[in-house]
Amino acid sequence: MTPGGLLRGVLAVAIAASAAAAEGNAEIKRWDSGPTPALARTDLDGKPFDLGRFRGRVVVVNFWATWCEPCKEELPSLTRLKAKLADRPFDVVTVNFGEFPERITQYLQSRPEPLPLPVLLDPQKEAAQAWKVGGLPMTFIVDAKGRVRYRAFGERDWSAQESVSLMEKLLAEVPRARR
Amino acid sequence: MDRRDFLRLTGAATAGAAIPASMPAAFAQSASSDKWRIFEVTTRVEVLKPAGVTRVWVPAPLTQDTPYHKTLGNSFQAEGGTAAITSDPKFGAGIVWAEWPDGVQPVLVHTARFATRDVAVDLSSPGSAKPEDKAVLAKYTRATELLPTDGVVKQTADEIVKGRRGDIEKARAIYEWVVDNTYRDPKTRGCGVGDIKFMLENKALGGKCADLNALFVALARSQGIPARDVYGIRVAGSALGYKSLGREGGDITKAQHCRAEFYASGHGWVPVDPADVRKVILEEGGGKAIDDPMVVAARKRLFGSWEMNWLAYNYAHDLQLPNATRGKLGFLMYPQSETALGRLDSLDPDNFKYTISAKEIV
Repeated sequence: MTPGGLLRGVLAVAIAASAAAAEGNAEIKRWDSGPTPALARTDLDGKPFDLGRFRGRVVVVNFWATWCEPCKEELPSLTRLKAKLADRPFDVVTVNFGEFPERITQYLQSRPEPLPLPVLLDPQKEAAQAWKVGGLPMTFIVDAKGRVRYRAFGERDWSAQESVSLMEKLLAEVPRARR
Repeated sequence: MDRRDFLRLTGAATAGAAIPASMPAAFAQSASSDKWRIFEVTTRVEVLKPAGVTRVWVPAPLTQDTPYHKTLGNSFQAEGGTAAITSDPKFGAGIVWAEWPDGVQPVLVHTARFATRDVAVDLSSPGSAKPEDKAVLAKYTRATELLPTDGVVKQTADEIVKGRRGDIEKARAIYEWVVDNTYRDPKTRGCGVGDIKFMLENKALGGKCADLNALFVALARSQGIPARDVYGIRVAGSALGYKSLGREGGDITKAQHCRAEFYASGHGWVPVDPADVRKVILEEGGGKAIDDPMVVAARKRLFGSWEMNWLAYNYAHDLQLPNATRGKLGFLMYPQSETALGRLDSLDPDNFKYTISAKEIV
């Protein structure tokens, strides 16, 4: 094999690995993009949401869209994650990427199971821009001090033990009185 | 620019209008065929759920002549509203623009005629092309919002061109790298968004033309090589046997495709299209290996030539649409619209419906 052929082979493996990651095991990486962006939006029911008021709680922020198949496949695992940590200072909030409420509602009503998670609206993608969302699904993990600590690009089973353990680790940082 | 200025500069019409092309250009490519083909492309846009004042923008053909393209004219109709054609001051992107008051069902019909012919640049010998304007070269070497030329982009390009000398050799190395390292992802929405920093940082090297050819452009610019995306749409089938690289039948509503060019001293703007090599690999005959003769031929051909079964719209990045209430667009290849609710999703058929058709005139 020529060096070029070897390089192409290695790259093909890397690309295949990357494609596999996008199908359910996206890597969780440390956030290294500076201060935590603001997240103040209205949810699908018209209620205001402000991430700044969630200090003392660990929050998972997930960006998704109805046209994004991996996003839709991932949502049930976020619901399960929330259920597993139901009695803890822990929240999952989803942010829809660039769609109007009618489309989102239409999709949610077509799901076999309801989505018991808040859906924040971002029709002009202002929040997505602030959070540097360049692809979907994109998920951020915010600690109890309101700092983004991790991010994941691609689909992932958020109810798997690895993810739960990471949340547990962050929850251990929450002041005892609030746990 | 306020609306009054816009109208004054462009000569707006309330019902319809037609303008001839075009502006002179300093180009140097050589056409590979003397046979010009003439096409007519009609874009019909309807906003299904208007709210308040509604505006629509559609890309018009290149506003400057090139060795492979001449715009013959634009006409447009916006019943009950105001319509105009303009070109943006920075890139010269042609934009047909219409506005309707509340209570009117907004429909814009734009028809463009253009002539085109295949183009190829002989890179095997020194060229004698007239030099491009320095200001133009500087413009297409700068970073844009989605095409940064520092950080991971520069680092990646530095590795790619290590040991290569001259702009053509470096551009070829970048072209080969894009072909070897990216893949066409059929799940990518539309033609992709072209956020190449995100792609490189996340090693997410799948996408479509607006992603893969933007990678070529930004990597080239980071090495000081002028390069630009050319946004457009396929208008006819391929006469070269590449079913995946053409659009038969006249309905080209979903046939948007961008290509790329780089500038080589003595040769002028050189056409390339690494994204289409990946399209051949993914789609031609149900999929081909990278060393399949058909892929090898496409790979060779698409560094230096284009088959012109395609309409070029513009080279614009970070484009401010005239009279828009929302921010800049990364690029203009799809029809755009705004209502009182904000900018609509160009790919959402529930809110925003459009058809684009093409027919060959001669």
